Amino acid sequence: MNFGILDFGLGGSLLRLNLQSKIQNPKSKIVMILARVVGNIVATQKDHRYEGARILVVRPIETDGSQAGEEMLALDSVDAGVGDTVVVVREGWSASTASTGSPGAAIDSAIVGVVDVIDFER
Amino acid sequence: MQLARVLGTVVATVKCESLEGRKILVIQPLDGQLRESGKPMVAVDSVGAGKGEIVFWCRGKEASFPFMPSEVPTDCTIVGIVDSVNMEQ
Repeated sequence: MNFGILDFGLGGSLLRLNLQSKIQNPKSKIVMILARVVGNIVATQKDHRYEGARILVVRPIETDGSQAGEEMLALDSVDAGVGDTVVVVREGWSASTASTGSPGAAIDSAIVGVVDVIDFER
Repeated sequence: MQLARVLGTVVATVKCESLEGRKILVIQPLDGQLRESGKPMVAVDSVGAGKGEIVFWCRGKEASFPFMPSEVPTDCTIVGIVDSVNMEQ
């Protein structure tokens, strides 16, 4: 009986914790982000689907331009360059289709737009 | 995708059949300045990377695509070996 109550209590609190963490960390579900291009990488030995593509280093940013996370890599599909603010999609099907023309490549993020201006009110 | 440095290898005798013959490596994720970011993790290799090399890896379902049509159970695969990283000053 006690164990039953304990189990229920523990299960309930875990569930609450889980729900809370999802609410407190909405970024975990966001698949399109703003980023700034800060560099590129050169790789000779790579998966064949990456051939001919440009691999850029991007730094996720907030709407005010401050850094919002660690630098990551994204394939370019719009001729973005260093210094550009871009839209990065972090979802495999879209990233693969945008950057190589067909889905099914081992690509999890791609640059799909160059940002001209952000008109934004909180 | 993200940069990482290969720290070493994992040897596993008993494993899923579709992982047989695959190289399993321990990698340390890096940021753009090649500083360590986050904890080391295990990745399956698809390009022949070795210890000490800077590589980039792909996360999620897409990580199993380099091995198609074989269905390898991985959510982190090394998909390229980095020759150089060029960052703005």
